[in-house]
Amino acid sequence: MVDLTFLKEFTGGDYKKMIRYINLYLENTPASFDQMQRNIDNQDWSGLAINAHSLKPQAEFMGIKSLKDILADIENCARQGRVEHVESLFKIARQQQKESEKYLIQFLESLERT
Amino acid sequence: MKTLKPTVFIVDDEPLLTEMLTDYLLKQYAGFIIKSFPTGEACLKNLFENPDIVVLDYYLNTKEKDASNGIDILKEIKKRNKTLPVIMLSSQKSYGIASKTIMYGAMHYVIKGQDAFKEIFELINANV
Repeated sequence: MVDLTFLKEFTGGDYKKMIRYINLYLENTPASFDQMQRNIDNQDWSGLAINAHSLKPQAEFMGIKSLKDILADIENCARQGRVEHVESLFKIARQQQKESEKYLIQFLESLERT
Repeated sequence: MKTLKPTVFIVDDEPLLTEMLTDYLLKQYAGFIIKSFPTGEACLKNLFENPDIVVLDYYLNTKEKDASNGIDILKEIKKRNKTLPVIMLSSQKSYGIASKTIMYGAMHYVIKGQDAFKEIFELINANV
């Protein structure tokens, strides 16, 4: 689910940078998901599209392609008014975010042990 | 690069991209002076510093809802300095948005993603 190849190449194996980037991602992503939930609760579809749009490249940088793809689907559904699918897509995205977060935290812990 | 120490403004409300782009650019060329701003308003306030190029996010109001979006900032930058090159950044693959940004004076439209960093550096290298 998480492929850190890009991040490893981007940082040239500099683990301090990897840790910094992963921590930035982990600090910001939960708030973005909470915001998307509020967008759904308030039926603020343009807000939802913007927030999903914003998170997409960050998921890509972390190598979480499945999350990036589902965020793209959420963005497209929200923009096109196909809102009947949005809640189930968001549930899947939330699940993927939790699983990938677990993986990234374990990865950070393994780096700190070395 | 024609300028020895070019000043690059990065305007994006996402800290991860800002930090990664800053690090990438400095790795390619240590002479860059990079200043980052989370809002277009902050960028405009500092335009007096005469940056050589601006990298500007299309959606600037994900964190601060009342912040102006990238197109409005682009228009204002061009009003104040017609010749200042602006690279527009977005993760939306939309021909309509891309052509709109070019119409308002952006030099180029870059899609955010793993390939964006190299593309942005090459654009900066060719234009400052």
